[in-house]
Amino acid sequence: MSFPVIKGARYTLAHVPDILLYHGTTQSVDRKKNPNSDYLKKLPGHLRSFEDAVAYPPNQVYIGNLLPDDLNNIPKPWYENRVRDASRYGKFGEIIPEDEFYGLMKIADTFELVYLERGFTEELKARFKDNELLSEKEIARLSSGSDIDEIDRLVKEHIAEPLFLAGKLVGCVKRAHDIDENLSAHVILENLATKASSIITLKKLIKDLDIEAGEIDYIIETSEEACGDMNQRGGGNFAKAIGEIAGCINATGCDIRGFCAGPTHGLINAAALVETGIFKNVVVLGGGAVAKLGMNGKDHVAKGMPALEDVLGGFAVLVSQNDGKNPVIRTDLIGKHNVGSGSSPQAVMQAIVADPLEKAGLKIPDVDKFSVEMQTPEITEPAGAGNVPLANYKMIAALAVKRGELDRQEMPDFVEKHGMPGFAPTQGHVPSGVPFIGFAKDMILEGRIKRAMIIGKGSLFLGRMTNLFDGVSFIMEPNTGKVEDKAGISKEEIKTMIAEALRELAQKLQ
Amino acid sequence: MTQDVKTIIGEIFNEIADGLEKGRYGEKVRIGITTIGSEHGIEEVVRGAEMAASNMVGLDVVLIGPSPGTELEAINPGDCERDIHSEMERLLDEGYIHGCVTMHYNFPLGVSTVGRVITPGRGREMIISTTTGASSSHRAEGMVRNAIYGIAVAKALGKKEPTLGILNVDGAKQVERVLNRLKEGGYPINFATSVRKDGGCVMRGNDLLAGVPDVMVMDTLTGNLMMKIFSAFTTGGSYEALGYGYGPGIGKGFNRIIGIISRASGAPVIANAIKFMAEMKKGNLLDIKEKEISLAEKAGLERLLKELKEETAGGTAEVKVPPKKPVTEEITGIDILELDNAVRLLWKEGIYAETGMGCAGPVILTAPEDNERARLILRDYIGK
Repeated sequence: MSFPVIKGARYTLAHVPDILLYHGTTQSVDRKKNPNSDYLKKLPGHLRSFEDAVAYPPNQVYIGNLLPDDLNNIPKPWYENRVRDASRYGKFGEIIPEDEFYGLMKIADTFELVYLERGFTEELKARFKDNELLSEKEIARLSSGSDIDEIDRLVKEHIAEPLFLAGKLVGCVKRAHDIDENLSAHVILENLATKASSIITLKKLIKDLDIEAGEIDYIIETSEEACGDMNQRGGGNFAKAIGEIAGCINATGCDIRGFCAGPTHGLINAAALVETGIFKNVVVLGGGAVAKLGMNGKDHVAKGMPALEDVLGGFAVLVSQNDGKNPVIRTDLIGKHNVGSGSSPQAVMQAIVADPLEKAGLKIPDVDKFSVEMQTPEITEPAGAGNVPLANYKMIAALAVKRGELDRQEMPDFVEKHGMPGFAPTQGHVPSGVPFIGFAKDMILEGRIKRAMIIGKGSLFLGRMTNLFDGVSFIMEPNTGKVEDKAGISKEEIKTMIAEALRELAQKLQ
Repeated sequence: MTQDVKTIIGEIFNEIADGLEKGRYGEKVRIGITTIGSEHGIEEVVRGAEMAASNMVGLDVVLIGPSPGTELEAINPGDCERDIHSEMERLLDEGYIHGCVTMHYNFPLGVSTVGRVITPGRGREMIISTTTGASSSHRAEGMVRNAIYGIAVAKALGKKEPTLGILNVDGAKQVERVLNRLKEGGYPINFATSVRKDGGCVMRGNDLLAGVPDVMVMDTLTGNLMMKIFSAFTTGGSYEALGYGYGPGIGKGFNRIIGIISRASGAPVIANAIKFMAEMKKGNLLDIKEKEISLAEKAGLERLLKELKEETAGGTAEVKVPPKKPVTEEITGIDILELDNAVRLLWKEGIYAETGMGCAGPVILTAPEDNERARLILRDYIGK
């Protein structure tokens, strides 16, 4: 049995300030309670331009133009220290402006629920012509667009949610049912946004890793949205819907949910499907969460900061059969937090960090880089949640000290060397472990690190079905280069076979 | 036939050819040894290595570190101990050497070494389990795990049903009770009987000197003493002349064959320690010990040890936890290393709360109605 490999990972961000303003839950809840709240009045003044979002250092890291550790040499606050002549295109992906993202939502729409204004549609068609990720067929899905009056009417009669661009109405998303709230315009908008975010990231993965869309035989979607109707609220299958638009004609798939730990659960399942030979190429992906846009907006506005949570994050990872080159997933060293593991942070870390390492006779410092919840600190700190990656790294270091694998004074050095600054948007499942996979693959291939651990954790109490926490992890390591065949026969068995053959031969010569 | 099976058959034919030509057959075993750190100088280590190489069939010895005047294979990453150790680990992990012997190595928690001595009474060999490291911070639990590790080494040396004795040290009775319960649970143990009239498997001084059991279980500190006594009682302690050294480190999931010797070990002990590690490789120690451990676990090891610890643990004055209720309100921003103290403080004040580590860092969860008061109580824990 030879381990599956991570062939590559791609990441996108969609900068959507107007969706933040009109559809992020913090804003829509506030608008319901008191429409002319002070916060809602001030917020538009704190929205960033596309250029500011592109030049924001953590965003440049997320799409691969900077290394996570480079953030250590950029003075804080990062939103005031833009990266000079930053590009929207990066090694691992790209940052998409809001107008193009509306176009992607229309392309992702298969039930004619997205209406875009006629003139705006023509502009998009011109813009998309030299977009290397979109084919003619896909651009044609923009169709001819609709009258602004029709769009205006649908919005006014609360049949559709508005799509604004710098405050100007350019489109809307229609509800898919008149009373079923699971098909309300708001839910359809959230689901189409996460679908569009995944589609563009998957197309980027397919193009960069020069794999045919048809070679992908399974897709696992791991966002935190639910698509269904009143009879099956979480019926699902974003995965197949995304594969359809991205041209994966030989793929099916399913959605795996685990709150923020979803992606790592998905990758473990993908690894198992590939290693057993059930499938050859499995993509694990997830799109952005409209609901979380501007989640900590009130604290950002109160502290005079820009609303930093203005991007939808997307990721896609390709897990394939061992090719003798790319880093392997150690499917024999999976970490998992069990029902009986206890919910204190020590118990969680013991289960998902220490136990798998123990199985391999390894110590915690033997892992060169840990990827935990990688939220950008300057987003969460003003909201009182502290520096989340740092808290995780301190816990791992404390565990190493307790196990006699690290001296107490080495903790700060450990945190810096084995951890890294957070650089991912607060998009729930998006920052949870997976943002570092692209870097880990390259750093392992370049021999800069030997072993990385990808950790996904989830707060399950939010769904009120259990109070337990959850966490899973896996280890990425260099490929040993030899692709072990599935020769079931062991050397011992062959020895006995040869010995018997020789004895028979000897008999004949008697 | 797939390519791999063919290559394996090719290897076997080569081995047969070697056997026909050189009159000895069997897979080559390669054991490394770090050369610095001996109180008797590097030459003593080299001499021990050469003794081992010449008197054991099918054994190659690789010297790691400075090794003047030897024709044995030597790899010299300089004379800094850290480099020598990482070179040793690299050779081990890449499979170039199957095991190694060194004087100092910090094994992970839960790994301890199983020694092997020659007893003075009738020259019988005996396993001392264990001699360095710590299988657990709890004494009696450690001795129970030591029994399993000692049996694994004895089986790797070819003993089908090794006899086991528990040295009469503090905690021996509890260990005996747990091992008996383990045996009833399905983990096979062949208890030895003391030469003393009252018999039983708790061993006395006579049994030590006569080497009555194949495996003698004790705590690591006593084991360490026994190693020095049995290996240097003829030389007064400064030069270990007898036995096989402190033995391989064993622990669940620890998959390396690393044997420990002391800085005072003389060439005969160094040679025997290398031979010991070679025998561990040939006897398949790593598979046997994992099988033994999982067999013991299936027979209820973890549950029995938990009961044992609860029984002996006085336990610090635990704060009484208020009655449980659903908790959904988060308190964030508390330093992760203070979380436990913070939750205990709430319990003392009669507020039920739980700690957790979800996807937004460490949290304390309280019921909605308690949240306000809880934040007040924890005001100097919550980061400004």
